[in-house]
Amino acid sequence: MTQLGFHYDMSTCVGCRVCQIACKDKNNLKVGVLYRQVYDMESGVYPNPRIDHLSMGCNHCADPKCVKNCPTGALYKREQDGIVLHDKNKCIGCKLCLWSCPYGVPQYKEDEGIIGKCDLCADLLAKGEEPACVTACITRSLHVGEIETLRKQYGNIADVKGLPGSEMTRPSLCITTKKK
Amino acid sequence: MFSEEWPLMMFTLLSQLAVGTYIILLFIRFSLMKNDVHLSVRLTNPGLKVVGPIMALALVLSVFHLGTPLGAYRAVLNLASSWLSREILTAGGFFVFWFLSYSTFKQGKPGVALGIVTALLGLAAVFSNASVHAMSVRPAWMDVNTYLAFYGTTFAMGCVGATSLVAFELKGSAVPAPVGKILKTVAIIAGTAVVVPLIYTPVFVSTLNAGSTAAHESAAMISGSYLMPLVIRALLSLAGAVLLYSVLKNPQSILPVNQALGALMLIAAGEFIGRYVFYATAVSVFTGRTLI
Amino acid sequence: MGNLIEQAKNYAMSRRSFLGLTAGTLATVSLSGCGLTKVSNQQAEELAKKEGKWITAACWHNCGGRCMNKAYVVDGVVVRQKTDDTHPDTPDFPQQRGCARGRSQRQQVFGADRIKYPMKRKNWAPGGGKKELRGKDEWVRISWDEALDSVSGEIKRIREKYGNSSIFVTGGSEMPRTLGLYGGHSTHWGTTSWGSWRWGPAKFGMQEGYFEHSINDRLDLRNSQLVVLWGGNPAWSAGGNPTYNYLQAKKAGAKFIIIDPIYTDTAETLEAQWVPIHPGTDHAMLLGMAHTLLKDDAPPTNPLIDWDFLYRCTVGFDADHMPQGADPKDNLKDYVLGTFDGLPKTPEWAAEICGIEPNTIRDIALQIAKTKRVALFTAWAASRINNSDSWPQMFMSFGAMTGHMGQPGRMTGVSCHFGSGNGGPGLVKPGGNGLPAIKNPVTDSINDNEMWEAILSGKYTAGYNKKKDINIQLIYHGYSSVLQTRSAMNKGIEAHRKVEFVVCHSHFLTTNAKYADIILPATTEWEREGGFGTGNREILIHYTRVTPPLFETKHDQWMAIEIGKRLGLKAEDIYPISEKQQVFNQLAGATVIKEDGSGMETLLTITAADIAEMGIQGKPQQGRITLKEFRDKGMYQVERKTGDKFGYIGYEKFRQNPAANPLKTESGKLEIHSKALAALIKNYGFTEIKPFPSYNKATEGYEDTFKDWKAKVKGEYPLQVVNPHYFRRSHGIFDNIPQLREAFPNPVFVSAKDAGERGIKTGDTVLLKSRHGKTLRTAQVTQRLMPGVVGLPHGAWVDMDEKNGVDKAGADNILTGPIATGQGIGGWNTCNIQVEKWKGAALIPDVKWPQRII
Repeated sequence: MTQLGFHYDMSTCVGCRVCQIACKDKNNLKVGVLYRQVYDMESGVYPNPRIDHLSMGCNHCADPKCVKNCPTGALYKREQDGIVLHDKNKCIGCKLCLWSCPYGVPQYKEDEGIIGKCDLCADLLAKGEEPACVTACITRSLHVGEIETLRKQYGNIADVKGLPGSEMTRPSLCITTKKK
Repeated sequence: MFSEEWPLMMFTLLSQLAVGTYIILLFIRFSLMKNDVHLSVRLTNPGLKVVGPIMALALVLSVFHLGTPLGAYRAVLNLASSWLSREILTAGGFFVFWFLSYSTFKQGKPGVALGIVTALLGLAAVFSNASVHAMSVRPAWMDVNTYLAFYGTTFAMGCVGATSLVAFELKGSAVPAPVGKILKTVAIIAGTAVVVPLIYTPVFVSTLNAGSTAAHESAAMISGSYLMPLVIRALLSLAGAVLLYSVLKNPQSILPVNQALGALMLIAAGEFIGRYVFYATAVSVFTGRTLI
Repeated sequence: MGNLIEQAKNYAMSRRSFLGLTAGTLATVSLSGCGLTKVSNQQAEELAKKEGKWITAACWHNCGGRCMNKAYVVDGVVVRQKTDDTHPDTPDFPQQRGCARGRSQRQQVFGADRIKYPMKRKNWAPGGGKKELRGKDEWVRISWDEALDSVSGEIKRIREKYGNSSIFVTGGSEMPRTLGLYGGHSTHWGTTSWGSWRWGPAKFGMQEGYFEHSINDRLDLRNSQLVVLWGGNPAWSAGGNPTYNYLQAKKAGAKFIIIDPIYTDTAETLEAQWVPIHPGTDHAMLLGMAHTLLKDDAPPTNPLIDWDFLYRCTVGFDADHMPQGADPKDNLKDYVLGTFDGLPKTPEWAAEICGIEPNTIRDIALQIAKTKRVALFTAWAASRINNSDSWPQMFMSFGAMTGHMGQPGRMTGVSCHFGSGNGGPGLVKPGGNGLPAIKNPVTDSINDNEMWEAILSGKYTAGYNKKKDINIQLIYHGYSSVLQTRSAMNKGIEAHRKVEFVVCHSHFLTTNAKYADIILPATTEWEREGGFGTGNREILIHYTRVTPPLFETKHDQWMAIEIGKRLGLKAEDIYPISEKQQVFNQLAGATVIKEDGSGMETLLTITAADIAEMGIQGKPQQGRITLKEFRDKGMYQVERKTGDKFGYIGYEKFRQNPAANPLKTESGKLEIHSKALAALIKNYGFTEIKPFPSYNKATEGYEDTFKDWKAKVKGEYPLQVVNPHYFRRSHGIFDNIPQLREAFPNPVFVSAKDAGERGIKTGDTVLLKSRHGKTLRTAQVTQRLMPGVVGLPHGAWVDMDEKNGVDKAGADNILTGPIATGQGIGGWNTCNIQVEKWKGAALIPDVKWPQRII
């Protein structure tokens, strides 16, 4: 079984949120629902401040708590590529996945009474295209692929300041960090 | 945000009240049975009857928490790994077995085996309920504190609930000696159920303080803006436990219904505040913010 | 306001039922999540299964990026958007990826708050009606006939009563045609985004940086060892590829220095050395740097100044190299050394003004002088400063001193907007649209900083020692946003409430529209024939219609014609050729750089069949690609690679041989002493400068934050506010888009030190007040700001609380004043303010504000 995942380059991301908006557009999401979100972290003290960003979609974890905890099996890991998918016909909107994801990924959709989440743009992948966030990035800081290949290319870091420990769910994510 | 969790919070409190009351009433019933079968039935049957509707109310409230209530039946599809599925199964099972056991009790049968199965299902439901929270990504819940808190509630509320129901049945008459002895044990159980979680609180906070950023934030809330509610919660619960004990310490006297109800109210209020703080101070491990 | 909210709610209700009834006819409207929710989730799913068509869609805003935008249309419904995928993406030949704003374009076009019908202010009547209600009146839907009759009626009436100059037109190319034929109209002018780079630099030999560039192209930027960005934050201000291009220079090994009061995302991402500076004091710092070089220069052991370049290519640096007829004392060297004024412009002198340690000033000067290949860039932000007319000349002079011009990896000039880090003439361009110009017989034109006061007082500055009377009674807002984006908005609102008639073409209830009497609903570019995206030298985007016009919206050209007809003009005189013909002319005239780089050649092959299909006039032609290919792709991009023939080195030939390749200045050289510049500035009639770049204190600049400069006692407005361009908007455009409001909450940035002194915490609502107005915002306390500086993002749509005169939206121009200096500079980054905790009701997040649905 292969496992798809994301590479995210923190050292080149400028926090512009085009990934967040492209995702919103692709998934037709209302205000209040974000399948990918950009966060900011400021540190340091003037005149030596620092600003970091984190673009976070679903990390399609190897050991996803959301899948484990979902009472209906609406959330499941697809055998062929490890994508964590959501079956909206099974979901009952219990919101336990919101409690279970260390990355704040699943989103409750009030008007539909169910949750929704990043599916790695599985429909685009099926057509040989890449997810909307990846092809939107203006600094080319997001990449999608077989996670082991990405890790070989970009290193195997998924623990950065601001993110919970990767041991919790083993995210299919590797991050390029800043040198400084 | 938190307002959405009201049905859920009420579900946990009511289901624990139901399970606790059932178990304590069962304890009183089985303990009395050796001495006076008739008395055991007379004193506990009406109380055991009340447990079912309370549990039903809890279950109905839990459905309100769902975005798609009509799909509630699907919640048991993932027993293999989901504590929520297990909770629904055990809580539902508790309700079903309450019905079976109560039907048996009503016929004046002892129903020991059914009663024990029901009680075990109830305990399993509370365990599952606690586990649902403990398996989340909120460090304040990922702690033995959750189990202590939930079982504490179950037994504290169960004791005052059961005592009040028994008091109703005694209708101001003198407490028969064996009943008084059992009720004194119940008072001690209640005190333990109130005190143990309270004693653990400082340990809990120091554990959180040694943990992640989110754990820190929870600790800061518990020992900061939520300290006063917690102190009030502790005082109410202790007052309730003390009142219960003072009522029950003298096994021969008359059991005043008002005071038993007073103890119930104090403990229920304490548990309510405690549960509110439990939800309000749970911070997710991921605390992403927007700064631009 | 309460009224407005109620009204919005009612309209939202009736709109919904209306849409429910006519869903069939509205199938063109999108699936927008937060705008018009016209298609149910079920319908959306069905649509998702159907095959649609990608259409190259316009992204036509003044943002600093030029990017590809495509709309996926299924059954007439825009289902989603995407960006450039016309070719594989590499750093040399990158895709033209759009930003969060462009990707929200369908939310704008199909927004629930579009102006759908002609609207009239309830209490309007010919002559103005209750004029004081402008901006707070209710709106009433009217027919196009009534709207056009009212507008033309007022134009006629006011012209007859007050004359043509009483008609004041802001923006749009359409109504000036009609009104030009109708006797003319007054206009306004200003340096807008450019600041003091707009008109002055041409006089001393440097380009303004938008139409033409002095800097090298982006591939050559990778040859620079040091890149200095003096002001400018492409990461925020220039969406699209500019930041990516800078990242390539970083990858190639360049070090970056950023001089800016804000520690920007650009600074963070490029790992730049950050030098925080008081806004508007850049000139002082450069003088201190020049002093350092003059003091330490010791050829041949320690050569810091490129004397050869100075002597061959410039005039005015020292007394021996002055232009003819100039006073030899008026040279930069003696000014820096203090030879005649007794005040050497040492780093210590500069430090007092600019707030940078003298040793840092020396260090920056020496780094630039000692590094072989330096790109010395500035963005316009540093010149959107009152009285800054000498700053661009000083910037050029320092570039000339260090010789960083005209060679690979060496350049000096403006790096801004879509030319960020990528200078040079266009490699692919559209032709002209073929519309003949129409002359405006009225010559009255008022500087932006004076226009609102001119309306109120009846006087304006028309040149040196020249005041003119004017009586404006009609404001005609075409495609513009002047009330929002020019200084002194409070005066502007007052002016709008004074005149007899205000009309506005608009897509939304923008600030211009809000204070109008009649709003004419205009189509967006998505609803039009098509057009071109230009500015990025390597690409030409051709977008086409995505949807038929929504509701009753109309093209501005149609409005100009219909109003013209009512004024007795002939349609064919206003627009002798159709919209389609205009597009065709631009296609037919499009040119592209030849493969060998020697000149331009025709881009498109157009067949007789193409012409017949379009139904326009034209001749078949041969070009590089077919019209169909161009349309299908939506873009032509010149493929660049290292060592190709399409690069650009600013001043290359001039540096090699200045005599044979003179600049368009009086001396043919770069003029560190420029009589023409001083004369130009003087003739505007506001303020004067010396012919060489001496430091001029900015009106309401850093020095004016003090009550007592010598004793360093701060005054009533002790802080300086700057207006960073913000991701949520392109100037004012997109401010109303819910998903952008959600992504970008638009706080005011307050330095940790200033916030601490005022007891302000992140999330507090704060009041910003200047000599000219008051506005509210939610504070974001940050370590990324120089203390003493406040960052209020540019362009938020004013939302005035009529009860207390305090704006709630954080509109930057509520704080700025009507101050005209030099070449009529828009001095936005010079504004003194005070910030304090707001005692009234806290602001709710912008995303929760009701949409302006009328």
